[in-house]
Amino acid sequence: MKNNEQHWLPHLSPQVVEEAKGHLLCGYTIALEGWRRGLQLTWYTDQAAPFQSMKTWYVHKPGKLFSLSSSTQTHYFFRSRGDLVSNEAVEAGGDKGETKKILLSAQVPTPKGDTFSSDVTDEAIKEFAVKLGYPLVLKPVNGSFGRGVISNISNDEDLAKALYLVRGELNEKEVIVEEYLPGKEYRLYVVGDKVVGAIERVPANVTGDGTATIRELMEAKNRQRKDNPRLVSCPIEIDDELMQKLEKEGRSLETVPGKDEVVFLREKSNISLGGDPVDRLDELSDEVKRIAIEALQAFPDFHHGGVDVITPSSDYGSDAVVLEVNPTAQIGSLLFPMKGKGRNIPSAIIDYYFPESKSQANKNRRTAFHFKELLLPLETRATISVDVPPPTSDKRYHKTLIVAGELNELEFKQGLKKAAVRMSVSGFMEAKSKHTSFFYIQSDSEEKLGQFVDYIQGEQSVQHVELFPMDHSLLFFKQGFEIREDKNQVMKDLKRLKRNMKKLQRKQSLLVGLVHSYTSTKQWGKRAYSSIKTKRVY
Amino acid sequence: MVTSQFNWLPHLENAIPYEATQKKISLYTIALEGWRRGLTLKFYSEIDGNHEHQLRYSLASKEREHHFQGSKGDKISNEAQRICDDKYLTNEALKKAGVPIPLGRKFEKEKTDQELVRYAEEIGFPIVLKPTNGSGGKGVIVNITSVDELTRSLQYVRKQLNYEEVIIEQFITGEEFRVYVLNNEVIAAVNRLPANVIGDGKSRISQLIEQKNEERKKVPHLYNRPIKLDKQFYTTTGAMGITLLTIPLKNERVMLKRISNISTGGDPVDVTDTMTEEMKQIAINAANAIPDLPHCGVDMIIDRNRNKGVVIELNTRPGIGSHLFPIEGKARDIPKALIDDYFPESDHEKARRSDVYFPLKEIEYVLRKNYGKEVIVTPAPSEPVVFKKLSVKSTESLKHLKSDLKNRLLSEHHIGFLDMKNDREFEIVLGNPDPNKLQDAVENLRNFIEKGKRVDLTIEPFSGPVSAQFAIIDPHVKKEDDLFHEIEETIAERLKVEKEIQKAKKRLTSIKNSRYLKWVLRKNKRTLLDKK
Repeated sequence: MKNNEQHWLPHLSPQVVEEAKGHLLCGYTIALEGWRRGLQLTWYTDQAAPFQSMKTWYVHKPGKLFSLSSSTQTHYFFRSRGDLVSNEAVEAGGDKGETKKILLSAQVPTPKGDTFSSDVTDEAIKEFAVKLGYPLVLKPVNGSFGRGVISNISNDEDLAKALYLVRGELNEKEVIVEEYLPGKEYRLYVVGDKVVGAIERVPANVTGDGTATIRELMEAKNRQRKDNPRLVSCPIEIDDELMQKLEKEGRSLETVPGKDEVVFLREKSNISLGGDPVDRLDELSDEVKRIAIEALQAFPDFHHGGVDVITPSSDYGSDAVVLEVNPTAQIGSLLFPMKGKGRNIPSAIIDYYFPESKSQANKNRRTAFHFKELLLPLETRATISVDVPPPTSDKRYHKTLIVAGELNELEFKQGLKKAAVRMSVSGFMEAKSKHTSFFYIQSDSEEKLGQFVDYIQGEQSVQHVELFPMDHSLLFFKQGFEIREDKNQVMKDLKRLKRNMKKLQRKQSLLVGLVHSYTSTKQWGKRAYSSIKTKRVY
Repeated sequence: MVTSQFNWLPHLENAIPYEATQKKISLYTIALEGWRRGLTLKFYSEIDGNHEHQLRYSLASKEREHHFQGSKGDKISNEAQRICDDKYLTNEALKKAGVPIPLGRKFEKEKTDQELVRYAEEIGFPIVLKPTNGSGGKGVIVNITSVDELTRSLQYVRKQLNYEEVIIEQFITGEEFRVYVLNNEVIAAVNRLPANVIGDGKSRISQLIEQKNEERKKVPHLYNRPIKLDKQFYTTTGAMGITLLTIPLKNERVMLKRISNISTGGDPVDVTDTMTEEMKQIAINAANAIPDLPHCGVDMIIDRNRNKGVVIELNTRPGIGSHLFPIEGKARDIPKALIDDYFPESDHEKARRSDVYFPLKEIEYVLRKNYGKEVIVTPAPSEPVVFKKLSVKSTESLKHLKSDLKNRLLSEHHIGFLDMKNDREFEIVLGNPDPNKLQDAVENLRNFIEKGKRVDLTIEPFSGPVSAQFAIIDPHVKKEDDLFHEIEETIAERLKVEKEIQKAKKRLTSIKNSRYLKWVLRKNKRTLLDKK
């Protein structure tokens, strides 16, 4: 079902971003775009000087801080945010009260409401609420991922409960009370004066097939989410909130929804709570897009970022109200929507920062650097930076092969890597079964490619080599010649190597002992000495 | 025997991580000296002739940046390098400068063996035969004493080994010295003794060798270079009538080999103070004979009794391990002298006070595999680091603490390590240049660990040196680069063993085919028959 509904960017397939899970995804895709265009890419630890003045968080693990350089300029990035975005914009964007003030003063529509500091009493807030009128939303000033956001409060009693929960239990004293606007929720991504991506955030839901229960449909949906690089760690989870929602609507987990019936499982639309990102860039009205652009422009130096809006009057908006702005927005859901097209946010960001690299935008799209491995010295803090070697461009000649034999032999694999370096052939070998592997190889010289195939054919552990013509234009490969295998295989290799080594050592000591037993008699020693010429070396 | 018997540099003791031992000693100790002084240290890779990525490094102060390759710095010109790499060009330059060298000359491949023999007779036997472009002593045949022997050697080197271009030289007897010259001064000299043991009047040779090999493991650049019982050993000891069972007298030094090669068990002995001024001057003149060669290693053969010496070779990238970690005599701080020379503005006191060193393992992995092309090493702390050790034990499993602890410790920028001994026991060493910050961190950590758990926690002072990172030592977790290193090392080790096996097999065949053995066997058979 997913394949005809989602159209992700071919050069940013799940395979390409496999090593960049969770919070590494945004930074990785932008870094990759720059690197593929030939910009110099460098990764850093939080101890590196350029990041001391930049607002960052959770950066003790590497993979979120990097820089890109062209021949004329260098820019530093934290996740999806570059250094053109000012710290003031970041601060204002993180403070919902401040955001409201700035948007209001720029006449960007926001929900009516106010911010209350920690010394304001609950009573005063209740008074304000009555004046504003129900329904309302209560949320902490500092918060994300929908934590402590209580929406659709419709009477005094619910408000008291909500205040107790947020200000009491969650201890978020500083809160915002604003009007509750029903409508569709969107996340737009703005770069400069353009909206380059937009998704609708649809609250967690399942679609019935007439036979499966809600529980079964949820499980199926979570499996589908696992295949999505952005949603892999955001399954729909069964909790009180979800059970209450079902109950309220007279359903349970065992209810069987009718065919094509959509059952919503939550009120909140957050992706992290199981919400579906659905691409709506083409559907959204220009009016909504204009409001999002104006929202960013209301802030000082807010060159790019996410804008969350709600469209109260119609689905795709004749108007929009801005809920939030996010200078460090996650772009994963725009790249990997559940429905619709993936939008090339990384390319738009790199175009904006490095307009001089636009002409290189389609280069090296099938390859990537070794992300996990190059982060190692940063992880252990051995270094504060690692420069990534530039991509070796796509080679002219290609071959795809199926090879059969004892291909797991360490000797074979080691020899293969060395031969690939020697003949400057790149590509990969991927095991398909115990005794067969798939090879994709490329080179600038047809002759060298042939030599490499001959080399494989000549190896002792190879039984059979078969040319396997296929469309290689969609194959993804990392730099150099890569042997795709997991750590377990490497551990196995090492174990076998060590066993083998022990045997050899035993053999050696036996042989040397044997020689010694022949030569240890005094007489024999003398004879041996005179018959064998000594050599002196310096 | 304990380490303290060595007269080494205190700031280098236990400050060389395993991955920097053996061949990387020179590179590491020089980089360490600069890094500890606060210079910016970068490592990068360069592709060599075998398409392999080799480690290079640079050091930089505010004023300047210098690039290094092993112990060679960029003050040595490419031209100087070219001359030193070519034995013929070196000899020409030395001859011109009046530096004593063994008489000899080069013969191109067109020259016939007869011409070579004639020349040998002219300069007089004994002579040495060596290829112009050999390395590691391959194809070098020494102490050739007759025309007959020379003819056979020529056959071997020019035909069998295919080194057609060779040098014939006088063979001069004496001891082999490696002299380190920096700016008109001899700053270190070692005499390389062939593998040897000193008797204690009780132990057998085999036991003495074992002891000596244990001792060699403590020497960073000799790690993995034990005295091997190879052909050399058997021929040398055989000639002296010694076997593995012989018990040498107390304090008797028994030479086990003739070759003084460090890698097969030879001992570096520091002789800087006993080398005569005349010999030092020869070394200095040799370095000065080549333009733009401010520092180098000079190989000499010196006859100490007659105070005579000749220069054999100049090395632009000499290994300095022997000078830093001699088995006998005083260590010479070449890294200090070099960095003083390249960065006179830097503070050498800082390096002497330092209690930290940098890890090289991940850096090497990333650069050698070309995952990265250049890295900047995390700067050394500018002040001396104070350390505390927390030892934690519990009767319950502490596994659940592990990931929280890791995150916490990694985010706090301490120097030190977490050593997960097992599920119920771990050690944390924390270091910080600011004692107050350290105290706070230790207290916070103690509270975190003790919170709601029954643990036995002790805190004590700790002294380095410690690797300047926060390392997680966990026997359950093997990182990719650890696996890579283990595989590389085991393969290298296997190659060595395979070679040894080949050698032993060859020797066994030659013994089995020798007439002597047949004679012995026949004799034994006869005596057996006689007895019957």
